Amino acid sequence: MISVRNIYKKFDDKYVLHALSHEIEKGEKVVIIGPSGSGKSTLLRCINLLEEPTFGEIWLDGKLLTPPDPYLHEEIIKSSKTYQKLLNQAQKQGDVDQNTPAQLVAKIKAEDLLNEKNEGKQYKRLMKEYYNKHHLDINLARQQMGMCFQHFNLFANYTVLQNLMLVPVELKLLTKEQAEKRAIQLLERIGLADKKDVYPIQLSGGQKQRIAIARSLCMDPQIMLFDEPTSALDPEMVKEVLQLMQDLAEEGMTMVVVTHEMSFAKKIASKVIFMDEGKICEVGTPDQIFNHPQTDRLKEFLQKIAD
Amino acid sequence: MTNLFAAKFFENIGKIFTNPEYLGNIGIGLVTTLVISVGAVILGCILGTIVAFVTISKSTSPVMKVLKVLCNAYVTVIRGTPMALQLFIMYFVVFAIRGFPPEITAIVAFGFNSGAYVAENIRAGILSVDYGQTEAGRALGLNYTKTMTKIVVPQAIKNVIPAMCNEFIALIKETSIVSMIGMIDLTQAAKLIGAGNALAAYLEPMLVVALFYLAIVYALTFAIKLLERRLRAGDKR
Repeated sequence: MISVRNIYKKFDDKYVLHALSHEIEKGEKVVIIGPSGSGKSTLLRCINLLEEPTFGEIWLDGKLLTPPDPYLHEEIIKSSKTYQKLLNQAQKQGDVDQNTPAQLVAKIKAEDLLNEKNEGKQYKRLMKEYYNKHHLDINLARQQMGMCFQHFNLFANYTVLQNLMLVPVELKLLTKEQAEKRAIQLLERIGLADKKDVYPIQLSGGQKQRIAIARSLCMDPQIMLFDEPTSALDPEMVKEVLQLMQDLAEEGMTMVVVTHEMSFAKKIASKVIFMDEGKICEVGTPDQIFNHPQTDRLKEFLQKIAD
Repeated sequence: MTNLFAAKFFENIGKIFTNPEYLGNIGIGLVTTLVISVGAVILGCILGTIVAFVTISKSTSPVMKVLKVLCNAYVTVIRGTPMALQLFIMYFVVFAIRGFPPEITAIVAFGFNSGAYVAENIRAGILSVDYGQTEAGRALGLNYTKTMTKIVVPQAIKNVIPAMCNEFIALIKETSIVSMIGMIDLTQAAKLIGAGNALAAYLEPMLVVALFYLAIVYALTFAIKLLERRLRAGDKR
């Protein structure tokens, strides 16, 4: 459903994500864990392009969300001037045998390809063609991907009900009446229907987060992304939010969750990803990850959080 | 001695309000001040909003880049040079056309000046809204424009009002320098009355005009307070 292909994310001079690839299937509940600074949140934010990956591609249901990455497409990279130059050099020196196309491609640094203009018309045309053929408008893609933030980010200038209704009505996905009906249903489901006319400032953290989840659900998303949804909450409010997420998971929602709640990961995850230093270090079922860790890095991490 | 002074004082005040010539002067001055102020506030707001949105945009298209440089230069130059100088340049250089209405020259000069300050106010107001609000809007699938108009700008307006009120007050009072290009505003009217043969006193006309300025500024402050109170209705805890 979501395909992350070879993505890199560079902040200033540091690569926060490094050649990261992964496939997420429909119905999967993916929990991403890892030490802070390992790029978990960045990965999540790259999936719906709140951060644009420096290189690499994000695909949603067979549609391309990012610009194409020439590195992943042989015919495009071979049309680039950088490749032609390397090829000419190799032919001049006569060691064509040691410079197979694959080796030449490997020699091209991704940075070389950032400036499209220098890579020639053919290259630009192919890039554009590929993009036009496969891409999906990011705003349309985001409608299918609900996102929950650490700090909730409810719209401060709207009431709870308006928070839920605003986007579906603005985007003309629902009429005002439909949106209101649906919003009230959702609020009833999370047990906050009586709060529909208050402003977010009057709510507790747990209530805010549950409403933020309801706001995403109001868009009827295919997949939900959670970026440390319980990290900013008081301990006694964590449970109500986790309960709601668990209910969602049991209904079969596809979910990607970045969290520090290990017991939650054990309970709902169909797949746990352990990230470290911008790479996926280990992937497995909760049992594999928590009870039979393979890598030293993961063992060390589990040791630390167990203390 | 004091009695004499007080008697003279009130007599002069009475003269100002009864002599048709003096009243006429004050009337013309008041209209000029108001026309320039209102015109400049409107022009300044329009200009300032445009400049603010250009400077905060993250677009990397070449057109926007050029616009950004222009807008930054505009803000720097306007804020870095005296208002009187800008007025002179408008009057003696840009609109140095025989018979060109000086009101328009003044409105453009003050509007351009105000625009730079308004732009910075609006920019600050928009940046003061938590970036999470923008992210939440975008993550739900709203485009940039809608996120701005529906979510960020309504919140920014509330934050911007006090600074804007300041700017408008400063602008109204700054219009008093239009006498430098020969226009009769409230301040110049007071000067003319004071220098007139019948009165030959400056204190009284100056005080009267001061009250006029005070009344205008007070009315503006009051109106903005009302507006602010209404906008903040949703904020009470």
